[in-house]
Amino acid sequence: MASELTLSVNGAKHVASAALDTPLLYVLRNDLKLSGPRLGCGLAQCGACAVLVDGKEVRSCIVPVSSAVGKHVITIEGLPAVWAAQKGLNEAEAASTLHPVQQAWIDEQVPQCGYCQSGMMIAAAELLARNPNPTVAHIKDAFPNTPPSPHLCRSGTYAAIIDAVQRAARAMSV
Amino acid sequence: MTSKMVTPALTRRGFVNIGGALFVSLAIPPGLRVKAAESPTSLDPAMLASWLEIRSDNTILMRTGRTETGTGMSAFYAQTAAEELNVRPEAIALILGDTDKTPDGGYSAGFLFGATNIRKVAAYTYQALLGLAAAKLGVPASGLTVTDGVVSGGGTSISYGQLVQGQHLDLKIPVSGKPVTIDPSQDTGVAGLDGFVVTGDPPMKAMSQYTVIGTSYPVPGIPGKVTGKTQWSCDVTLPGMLYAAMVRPATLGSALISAGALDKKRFPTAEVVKKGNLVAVVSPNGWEAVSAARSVAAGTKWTSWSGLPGSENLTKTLREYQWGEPGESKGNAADVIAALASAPKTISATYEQPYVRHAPLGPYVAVADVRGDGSVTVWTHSAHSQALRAQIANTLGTPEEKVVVRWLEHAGQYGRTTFGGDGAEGDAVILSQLTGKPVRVQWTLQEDLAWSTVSPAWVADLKAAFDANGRLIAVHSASFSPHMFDARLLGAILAGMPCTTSKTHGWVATEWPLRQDSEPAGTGLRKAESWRGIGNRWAARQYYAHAGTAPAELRAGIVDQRGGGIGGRRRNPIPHRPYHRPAADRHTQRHREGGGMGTAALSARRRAPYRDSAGDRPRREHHRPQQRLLGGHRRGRSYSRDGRRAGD
Repeated sequence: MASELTLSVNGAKHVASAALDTPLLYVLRNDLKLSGPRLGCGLAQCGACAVLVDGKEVRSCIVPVSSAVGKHVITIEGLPAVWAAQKGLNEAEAASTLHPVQQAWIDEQVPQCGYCQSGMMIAAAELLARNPNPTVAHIKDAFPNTPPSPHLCRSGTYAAIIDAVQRAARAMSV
Repeated sequence: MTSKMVTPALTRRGFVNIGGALFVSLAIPPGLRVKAAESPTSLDPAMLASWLEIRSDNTILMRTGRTETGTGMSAFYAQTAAEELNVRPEAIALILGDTDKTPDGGYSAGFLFGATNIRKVAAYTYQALLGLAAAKLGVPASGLTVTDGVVSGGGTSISYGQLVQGQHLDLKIPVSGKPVTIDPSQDTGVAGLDGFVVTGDPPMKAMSQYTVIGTSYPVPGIPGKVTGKTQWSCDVTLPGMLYAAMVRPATLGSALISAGALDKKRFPTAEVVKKGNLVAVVSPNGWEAVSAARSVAAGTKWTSWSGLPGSENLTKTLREYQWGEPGESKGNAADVIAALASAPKTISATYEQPYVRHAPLGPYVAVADVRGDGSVTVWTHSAHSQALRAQIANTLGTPEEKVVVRWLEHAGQYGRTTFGGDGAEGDAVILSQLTGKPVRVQWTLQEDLAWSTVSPAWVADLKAAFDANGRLIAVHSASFSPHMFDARLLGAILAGMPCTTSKTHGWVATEWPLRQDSEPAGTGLRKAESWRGIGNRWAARQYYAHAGTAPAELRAGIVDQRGGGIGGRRRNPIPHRPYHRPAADRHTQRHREGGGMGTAALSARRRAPYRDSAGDRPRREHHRPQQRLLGGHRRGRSYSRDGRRAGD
């Protein structure tokens, strides 16, 4: 049975009507029309659906929406605002500035098909928030080991991801 | 309306002789016509505007029925057209894959082949533009130069946009080929998979003249993907749309006995929809459809079926199949068999591969809107929109003119939708027809891994003969495999509706014997290919092992897998290295110095890499033992410096 749930997503309050066991992914995509997180395995084993909940990566395909009530959910659509707030950018600057992770993903031309890359960027943002200057070893460890399960890319963009995380780290340290 | 011929600048290169008339109309164009007799809904491929439009603001719209497959093709197509037109690729926007907005250009695989249409269309257009500019500027075409879409000559210049302003460049494009049609005589069940091919020989740039290809051009779609603004095929929603979750049969051959009950208290908006063995649960709420389908599936009864041999019996089953004469045979089999019988040294091996799933990260998804007036619109990520359209029209019994397929990006599919079938589209159109509403079907990954098409299993038997001097004198390879892919729409099969032919009759046996005593040792390997080159790779490796080293010719990098030759010799041949069988390492768990050799051929690229390893660290600490990877590579050019980064 559906319940009225108030969610904080990308800095805005949303009221959604959903059964309490509805995976967060379904509410984000179908109700809030946020297409960044995507369905991959549906088992929390690939990372395509990853979002940040109170700064921690979760796999939204298995996390019930009820568990996100009262917490702050960030998708890739909300990453620029996170960075703008962190850097104290004014409105005009914020409107034209991407999160350094996203900018690095563009500069390094990371995506091939790109289906998994929302989750990859979420993982990168979380990594850089707790480790501003990760080594290659840290990055290699973070994507398969730190999140709930490995982030998978069937196009094999892993080398580009390492370069992009390092590029983002440099940009964020300036 | 023809008002001006621009052939003088063209006839010297002869491309008018292929039958295409080149002219410029000063009339307002009648719009993109549909050539009903040959191409029911795709754009007329003989019209330039179906491929390319130059706008007065100096931007260019390029159309191709092919699609982005997640490999950067969208950037490469723009670069290809820009190169021949002498414009910046940033000036080019692309429309990909929509059957009502593009010409049928075939399936989306093999970029170099697929880009030929675009390249030729751009080259024809460039010559037409030169003719226009020559007339406008009063300067012979030979005295004109073009930079970034601006034509200069005689001390003045004019942009492409200014050239075409107020008129229509009505260039006839010569094409051959036919649109995709359902054809039971084909192994794939469809004919015309290559679509229309632009013919003729327009003047095109030599590689040495390239200024765009090989330079940096970021893939245009990446910023949208990185910021969440791209609309993917999984993002399509329509007013009144139902979400569908499928209840699949217990086995491949099971028939429905009864669908499980739907608990309307738990799932008040859900409905069970059935047709034959096609069972689904639909709901305006996506999660309710999924959870209700799980509940219904638990109570659904299917007949038992055990028609598959099981993985453990797969090879045995393939060998027991009555193959008959080889579907493909090359070389003189009798001669090779005689050489094998009389040679002082022979070796043999058998290779087996199970069925391999393509397994994209994102499972199939599709949206369909089948309306009461008979019109059908499908949103897909198929690699062949036109073939999919033909398949859907065939299943629904609808004229192709009534079916529109719109393409959007999705997870890379790795070639599995090349024939236009397979996927969620069949489910979606049938469910939309049954419910009278737009329906979105999202397969689960488990469903995808169980029900999507596969690369076939195969077995290959290989034999090689050596003479007394250790020279390879004969190779015999025989491969047995069911045909590649199954293009049928799963929904149509389950619903008992018309679908393309089963391909069980299209199993393939190949026999490629080789006997080339006259060729230098080693080079003869190049034609010993069987299924996916396994014969060649095996023969090269065994030759290496048998002789104790790669022959000089192989080390010089001249071996080729498909007879074309990589061309040229390495300036510094790979040094002699002894071969070591991997089995020797199992006892010591340590690496030994040595080398290995293999070949690979992908599309137009041909490589003969030579791997050289050295070291003695335990394997667990050394995941990449090769220290050098040397290779012969057919000379080519990287399309984009940016596209080369990802996946390196």
